[in-house]
Amino acid sequence: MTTLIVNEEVMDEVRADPLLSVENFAVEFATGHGWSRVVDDVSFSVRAGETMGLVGESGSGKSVTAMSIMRLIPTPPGRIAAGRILFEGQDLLALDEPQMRKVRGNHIAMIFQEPLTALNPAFTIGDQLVEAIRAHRKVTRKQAGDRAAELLDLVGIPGARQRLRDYPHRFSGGMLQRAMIAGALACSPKLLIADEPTTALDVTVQAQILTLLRGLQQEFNMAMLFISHDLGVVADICDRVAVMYAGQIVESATVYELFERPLHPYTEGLLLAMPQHGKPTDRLVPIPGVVPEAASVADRCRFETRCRYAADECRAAPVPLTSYGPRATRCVRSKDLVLGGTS
Amino acid sequence: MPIQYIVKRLISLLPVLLIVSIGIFGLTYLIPGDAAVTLAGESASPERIEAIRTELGLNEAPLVQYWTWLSGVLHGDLGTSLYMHVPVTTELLRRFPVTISLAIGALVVTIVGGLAGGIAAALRRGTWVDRLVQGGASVGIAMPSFWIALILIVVFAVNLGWFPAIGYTSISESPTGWLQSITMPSVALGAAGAAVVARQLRGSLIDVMNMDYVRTAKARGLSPRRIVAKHALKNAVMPILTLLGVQVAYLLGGTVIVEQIFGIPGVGKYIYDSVFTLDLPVVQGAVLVIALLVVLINFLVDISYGFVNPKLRQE
Repeated sequence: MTTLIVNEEVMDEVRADPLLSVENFAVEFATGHGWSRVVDDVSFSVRAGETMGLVGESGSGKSVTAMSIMRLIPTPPGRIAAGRILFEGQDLLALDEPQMRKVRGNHIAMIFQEPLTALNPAFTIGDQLVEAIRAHRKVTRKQAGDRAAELLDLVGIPGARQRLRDYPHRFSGGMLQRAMIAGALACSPKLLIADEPTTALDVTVQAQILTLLRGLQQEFNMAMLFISHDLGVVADICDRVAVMYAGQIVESATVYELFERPLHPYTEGLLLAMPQHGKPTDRLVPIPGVVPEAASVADRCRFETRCRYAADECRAAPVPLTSYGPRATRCVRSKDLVLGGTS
Repeated sequence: MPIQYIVKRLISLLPVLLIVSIGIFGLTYLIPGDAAVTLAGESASPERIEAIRTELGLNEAPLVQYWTWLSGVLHGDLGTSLYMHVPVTTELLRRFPVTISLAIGALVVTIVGGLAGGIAAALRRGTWVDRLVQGGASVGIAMPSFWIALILIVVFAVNLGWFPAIGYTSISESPTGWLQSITMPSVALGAAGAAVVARQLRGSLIDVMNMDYVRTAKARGLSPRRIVAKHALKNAVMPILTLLGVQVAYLLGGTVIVEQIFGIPGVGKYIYDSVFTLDLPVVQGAVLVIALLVVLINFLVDISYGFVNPKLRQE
C-alpha cells in the first residue's frame, strides 16, 4: 500500500473555475442494432491558459469528444446522450445552432489532423482567412486583409502578404497547418482544440508546429485541448492529461505525475509501448489484444480483457473514476498496484 | 487565365473542326434518295435528272465536291437552298437568333431546375424533398422531349390557355409575347437536362459536404447558407460543367424536334424541313453551324474549369 501525495498548490488550481468543464458526458451513435455508446461518462476540465491533453488509441472516443465540444458531430447518426459541456459557465449543449455558431471560431477554435484537406482548394489562403475574421468581427475587407497578413506572419510564414494570394495547393503540409492555426487564431479564441494537429506531418515539421503552438499559447494566454495518440507529443506540450480507453477516461493527472507514476494499468501499458529519447531501449512492450467494443465489457472494467493485473474484482462491476486529490483513475486495484513510470 | 493557354486551346480546335466538316459532308451521302430525282419531280425524264445532277455538281468526284463546299464555307458561303433559292447563310442568320433564344431558355431551365433540385435533395437527404427530386429526375430523364411538349400543350395551352400552343413571337416585336411563346418549348427542351444536372449535383454535393474543408468552415462559425453557396457549391459544380457541355449538344439537337412541334421558325425546323426535301446545302450548312456552336461551348466549358479549379490554371 502506498500513499498518494497530494500537492496543495495543484489542489488550489483545481478548485479555480475552469474555462471548459465537461461533465458526465456521453455520445451515442446509431448502429444496425440500436445505439452504441462511443463516449461514456467523460468528465474533465480545461483552465484558462493551460494545455490539457486527451490521449488514447483510435476509436477511444477522443476525437468524438473534441468534435462534440464544438457540436460538430453529425446528428443523426450521432446523439448526445448525457452530460453537460460548460464553457465559461454556459452549457454549450443548451445553445441553439445560431448561438453555437457565435461560439465556433470565435471563443473556441479548432484545428485538425489533415492540413492538406482542411482548407478549401478552390479559394485562396487569404480569402479563407478574411472569411474566418469577418465571420465574427465587423471589419472591412481591407482591415481583415491586413489582419490576415498579420496572422500569417505570426504563424511564421515568410512573405505573408504575398502568400495570401496563393491557393492551398501551393503550400506544403506544414505551411498549411500553420495557415490553419492562423485561421484558428483569427478571432483570438479563449480555447483552441487541436485534434491530432501534428499526426500527418514529418517529425521535424511536427516539432516546429508544437513549438509554434506552445509559443502562441503563452503569447495569447489561450487554453488548449490537445488531442493525440502520441504520449511523447503530449509530454512535450501538455500541462495535464486525460487518458481515454474504449470511450471512457481511465486516468487523469498532470503530465509529470502521469509519466512518473501511472495509476492505471492501461497508462502503464502505453508508457511501456513508447520509445524514449536518450535511453537505449531493449524492447518495446505492446499491449496485447485490441480495444473491445464498449457494449461487450459494459459490466466490468473495460480494460480487464487486456490487463495483466486483472483479478476477480475487476470483472465484478463497472469501475467508476475515483479521485485522489488532483488525480483520478478508473482502476479498482489502483491502491494495491505499484505501476512503473518512465523515470 | 493566361492568354497563351486560351490561344493554344483554340488552335487545337482546328483539326476537330476539319474532322467535323468531313463528317457532315460525308453523312449527307448516307441520306437515302437522290436530290436530283426529288428536285426534278415525279414524272421527269432521265435526261432531265441527269442535267440537274450535272448542274448541282453531283457527278463530280466526292473529294472535288467536298473541296468546292469547304472553300465556299471558308468564305462564309454555305451554298444556296435547292428549293427556296435563298443563300443558306442568309437564311441561317435570320433563323439563328430564334434558335439561340430557345436554347438559352432551355439552358436556364436546365441550370435553374438542376441547381435548385440538386441542392434541395442533397441538403434534405433522405426526406420527402429528396425523394421528390429523385423521382422527378427519373421521370425527366425517361420522358422524351416531344412527349413533354405534347403534355405541356394539352395542359397549359389547350386546357388552361396560359401559353400559345404554337408559334413564335420575336423579342423585338413583343417581349412578353416572346416570353410566352418560348416558355413551353424551353421547358420541354430543358427538362431532361435539369433532371441530369439535379441528379449529378445531388451526388457531388453530398460528397463535398463530407469534405474536411466543409468541417473547417463549420468550425469557424460560418452560416450554413455560406458554407453551401460558397464552399461546397464551387467544388461540387465541377462535374456539372462537363455535363453542361454535353447537355448543350443534346439541347441543340433537340431543337429539331421541339421547333417542329411548336412551329418555331428556327434552325432546327429548317433542318427538319430540308432533310425531307433532300435540300443538301441547307442540311450541311445548318448542321455545320450547330456543330461549330457545340465545339465552341465545350471550349468555353474547358476554359471555365480553370476558374473553378485553380490547380488547372497554372498548367
